[in-house]
Amino acid sequence: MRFQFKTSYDQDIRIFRDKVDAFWYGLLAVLVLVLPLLMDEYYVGETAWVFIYGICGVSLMVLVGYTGLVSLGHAAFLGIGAYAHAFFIMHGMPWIVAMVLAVAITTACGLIVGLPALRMTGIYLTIATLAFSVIIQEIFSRWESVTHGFAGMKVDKPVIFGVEFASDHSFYYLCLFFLVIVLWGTRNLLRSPTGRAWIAIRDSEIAAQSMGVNLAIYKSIAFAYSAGVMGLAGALFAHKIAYLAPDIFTILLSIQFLLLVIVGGLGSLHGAVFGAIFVALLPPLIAILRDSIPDSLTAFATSTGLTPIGSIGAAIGAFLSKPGVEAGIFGLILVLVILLEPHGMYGRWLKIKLFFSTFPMYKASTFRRQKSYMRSERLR
Amino acid sequence: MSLFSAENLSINFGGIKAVDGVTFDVAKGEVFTIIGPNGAGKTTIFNLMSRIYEPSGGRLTFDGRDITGVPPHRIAALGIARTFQNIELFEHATLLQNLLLARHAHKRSNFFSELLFLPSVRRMEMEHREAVEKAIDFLDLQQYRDSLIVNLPYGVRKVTELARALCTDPRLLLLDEPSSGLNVEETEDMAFWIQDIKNLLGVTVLMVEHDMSLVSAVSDRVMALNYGRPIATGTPAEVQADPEVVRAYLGG
Repeated sequence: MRFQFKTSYDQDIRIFRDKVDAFWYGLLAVLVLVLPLLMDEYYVGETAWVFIYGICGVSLMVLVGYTGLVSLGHAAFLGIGAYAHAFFIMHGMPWIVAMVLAVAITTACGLIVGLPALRMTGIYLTIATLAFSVIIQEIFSRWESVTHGFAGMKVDKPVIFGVEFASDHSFYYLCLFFLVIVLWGTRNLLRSPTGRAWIAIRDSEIAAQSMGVNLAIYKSIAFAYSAGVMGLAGALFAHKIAYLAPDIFTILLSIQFLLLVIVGGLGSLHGAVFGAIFVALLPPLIAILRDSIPDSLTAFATSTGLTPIGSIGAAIGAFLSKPGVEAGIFGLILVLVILLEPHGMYGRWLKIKLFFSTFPMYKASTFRRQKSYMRSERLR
Repeated sequence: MSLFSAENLSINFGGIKAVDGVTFDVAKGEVFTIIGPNGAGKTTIFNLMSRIYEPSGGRLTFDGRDITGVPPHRIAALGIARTFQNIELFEHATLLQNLLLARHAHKRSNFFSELLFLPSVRRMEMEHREAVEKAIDFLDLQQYRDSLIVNLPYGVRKVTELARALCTDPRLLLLDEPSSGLNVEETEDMAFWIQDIKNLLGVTVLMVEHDMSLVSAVSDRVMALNYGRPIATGTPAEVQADPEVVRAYLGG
C-alpha cells in the first residue's frame, strides 16, 4: 500500500498524483510510441481505431459520465465531423483548416441540439437525441451535392503541411497525438470550475443551482464540447475509413459508443480509454478466433485421429461468421458488465490494483457502497 | 436595519395556498427561526427565497435590493447560501470537490482558460482551496477531505452541507432543519456551530427547525407558521407560550 503524504494544495491540482504515477504514465507513453515498430501493419491499423474510439469515448464520457445527460445521437456528430472535414478537404482547404472548421460546425450543431436539453431530462432527452441522429442520417443520404449520398465520398490520406500520413504507422501517431490532446484538455476542464459544475449537475441540479451554477449554460457547454470532440474524432474517422457513406452513422454506432462508456466505467477518463480498447479490439478478436479455432481444431483432429473435434471446430467457425454474432456478443457483454461490474472495466482495474497493493489484506467489501439516504424529489 | 425582508409573500399550488401572505424581516447578525407543524410552508419559504419557486405574490428584499426577479443561480453570488432538508450533496464526488463547487459564484475563469489550465486558473484554484480549507478547519472535516460523499455517514453529510454553504461566503445562511436525523450529541455540536457562525463569522442565519431545544438555544427570534400563515413572532419563550402556537401543535 502506497500512502501519499501531501504537503501542498498543488498536489491535488496536478495531473499526475505523484512521481510514481508520472513514472507509470511515462512508461505507458513509451510503450505506445514503440509499439507500432514491433507490430504488423494490420495490427497498427487496428490500434489506431482504439485511439479514434478513445476520442469518441471522451466525448460521450463528458456528456453521459460527467454531466449525466444520456445521448443516443453521437454517431450523427461523428458523421457531421467526418463529412464536413471530407467536404472541405475535397474543396482544397488545408488539412488543419478543414479540421478546425469540422470541429466548429459540430460544436455549433451540439449547441443547437443542446438547447432542448435544457428543458428535457432523462429518457426524453435521449429520445430527442435519437430523433436528431435519424434526421441527420437522412440529410447525409439526401444532400447529394455535399455528401454524394449513397454513391459515397472518397477521403484521401491526410496531408498536413506537405507531409503525407499515408502509412498505417504515421496515421497511428496522428491519432495518438489527438487523443492525448483531447485527454489533456478534458482533464483540465474536469479539474476546474466547469468540470465541477458538470458533476454537480449530474448529482443534484437543485443544489448546483443554489451554489451559483447556471444550469442552461453548463449543460450547453457540455453538449457543445462533447459534440466538438466528436467532430474531431469524425475527421480522423473519415481518413481511417477512407470512404464515407450515410449508413455508417446509424443508431447502432451510437449504441456502440454508449456501450463503450458503460463497459469502460462511467465517470472516469480512464474508463473512456478502457472502453475504447474493448470496442475497437473485440471485432478483430472475433475475426481471429473465427479463423484460428477451426484451423487449430482441425489440425488437432488430424494429428490425433479424433474427427468429431474437427467438425466442432468447423461449427464454431461457422457460428462466428454468421451476421449479427458480433452485435450479439457486444450485447451479451453489456448485460454481463451491468450485472457483475457496474463500475466497468476501470472499476475492475481499481479493484485489481487494490488487491495487489493490500495483499493479503484485501476485502471485497471495500467497494461496497453504503445505502444512499433519501433525497428530496426533484423540484419543478 | 434589516438584512432580509419578505413582504406579503404568497404562493399557490393549484388551490392550496402553501404560503399565504407571510411578512417578516431578518435583522443583520441575528438567528431567526421559522417553526411550525408539517406542511406549514416552512421549506416552501426557503424555496421561494432561493428562487426555485416563483411567488404568486409579494416581494423579497435582500440588503436593500429587490430579489423577486433574480434567477436562482445568481442568489449565491448575492450572498445567500442554503442547505437542504434531505441533503443534496454531489454524492459521487469527494467532499473537497463538493466544497470547491460552492466557490463557483466566485470564479473568474472562462472556458478557454480552463481548457488550457492557464497559470491564472491554477492561482484561482489555489485561492478557492484556501477558502475551502477555512471551512474544513472550522467544522473539523479534515479527515473526510478525499472521501466520496456516498461513503460518508449521515451526520458527516449534514455537516458537509453546512460547510458547502459556508464556502460560498454567504451573508445570509438558510438552514433547512439542520438537526434532522442527528443524534443528541451531533445536535449539540450543531448548536455550537450555529452560534459560532453568527458570532465569529458574523453571518446572519435563517433557520427552519423542529427541535425546540436547539431552537431555544440559538435563536434570537422565532416565527411560528401554520397553514402558510404566521401565527406568532417573538423570542423563543414568547412563541412557545403563545396559545395559538400551542393549539397549532396540540390541537383543541
